Amino acid sequence: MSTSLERCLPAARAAVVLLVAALALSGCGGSDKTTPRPPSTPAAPTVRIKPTVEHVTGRLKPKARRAITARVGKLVDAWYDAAYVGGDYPRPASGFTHAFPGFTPGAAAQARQSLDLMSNAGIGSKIDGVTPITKGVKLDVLAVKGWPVGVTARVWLSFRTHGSLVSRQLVRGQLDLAKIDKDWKVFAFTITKTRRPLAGATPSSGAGESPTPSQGATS
Amino acid sequence: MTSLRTGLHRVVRRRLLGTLTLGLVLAVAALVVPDASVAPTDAQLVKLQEASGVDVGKLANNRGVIWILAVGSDARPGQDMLHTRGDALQLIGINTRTHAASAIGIPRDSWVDIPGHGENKINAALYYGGPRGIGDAVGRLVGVRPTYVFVTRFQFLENMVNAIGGIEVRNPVAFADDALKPKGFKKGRIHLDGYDAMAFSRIRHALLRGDFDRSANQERVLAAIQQKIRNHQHDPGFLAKGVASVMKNLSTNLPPGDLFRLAQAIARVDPTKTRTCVVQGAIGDVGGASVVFPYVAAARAMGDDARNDATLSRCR
Repeated sequence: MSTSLERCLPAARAAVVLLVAALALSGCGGSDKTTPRPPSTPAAPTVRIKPTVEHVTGRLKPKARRAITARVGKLVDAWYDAAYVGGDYPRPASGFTHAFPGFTPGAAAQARQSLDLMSNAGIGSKIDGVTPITKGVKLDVLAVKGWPVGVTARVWLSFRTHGSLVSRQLVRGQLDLAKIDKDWKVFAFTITKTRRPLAGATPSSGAGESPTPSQGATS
Repeated sequence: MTSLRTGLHRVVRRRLLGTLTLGLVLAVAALVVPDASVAPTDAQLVKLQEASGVDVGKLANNRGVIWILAVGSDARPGQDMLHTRGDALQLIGINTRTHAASAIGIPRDSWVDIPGHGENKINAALYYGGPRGIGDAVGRLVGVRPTYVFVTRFQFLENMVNAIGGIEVRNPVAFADDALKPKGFKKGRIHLDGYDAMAFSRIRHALLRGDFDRSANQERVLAAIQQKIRNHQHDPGFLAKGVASVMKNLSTNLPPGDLFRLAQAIARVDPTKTRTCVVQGAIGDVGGASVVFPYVAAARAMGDDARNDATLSRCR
């Protein structure tokens, strides 16, 4: 749970660009406004989520379509951040218990039973940063009388991890949402998470382990 | 020396065979694993782990269990299907936490007491008391009171099965019916479209054990519908389309959002954790009508077995 730049920087040899990107995305540099950046460092890449409606069953008013797209996009992005690409690294598994904003209490409790898949809890202590590569969500909407009553969000997120575990991770599956107590909430989920070691990558932290073959494909 | 040479040949032959076999396996693996030779670490045959969960909130009890009575009404077009006779009665339990499910079939001719109306066939409870009446009657017989009663008529069952593209069932015995299915149903795995699903669920006289076997066939249809939903739950729009069809064809006071949540719970039911029973009884006659005198103690035992976790330990 480091906050200063020095504590966040891995003792390693990875490219400067990657480090800066990882730092910016893991929030490690937030409190250190005076720390000078190398002049040649490009701005940290911002990967934005662009939710789209792919399938509508029933009639959906344009206004309702825009509203549900924005709302679900925001909810899904909040989960991506809380569970995978936001926050500080390294982080122990206990740091992921609040990784499910926007989930119903029951769905969050069930997600916590598969915390390694539903968040970075299983690898959080082995990495010191993540860089998002792609974020996506497509919606299937069930609408009645012009208004949405149920949404299936097809989600995918890929990101790189840095530190002892250098890998590319892919999270994909679906979140199901309904309006519960006047707000849209995730009440069901089916998610897979796969991991690929990056060819030729060396851990940016010397003491770390490299992923074993069994870790290499799925977590 | 000769024996040594022969032994050596055998070893070489065995090794060659082993190498060939290994080569074949690798060749097949290379065919089925794309890019295996380029990036071996990227193509490992592993079981993909999946996290799955569903929270239906107050739709289930505090154990995460939902009990639904599915009623197939024999209402003809124009009749009020909520106050006719229920032809098919299935008490369905779903455990949203373990993804187990149970179905207890009740022969429609079961002779029971209907409070305020004396003794009658259990399906008359829908005529007298509507969905609540039939729910109470089944609850008294089995000892598990359904939280929800879904009533549909057979025409609507046809529509719903057609909406999901038909179903596959394993039919244990060939049978036919002059009125509903003159060409009959073959034994074995068969495809049923909407009409066939209706006929398969309704035919009784051609079956050896009449009402009991018909009830078991209804459970086969229900299980097949669930299997179809499960197999296609991730197809874009599939579940939404199914829910829209249910809203059109089923009488329920559940709001659409709750039906959507229920559909997600049904889609997650694990067929390997599903079991079905039919309430048994003695065939008899009351006033010239064929009736079933249900074995109440056995029906209650089924209810006791499944009440808390929607899991039956016996039957099919």
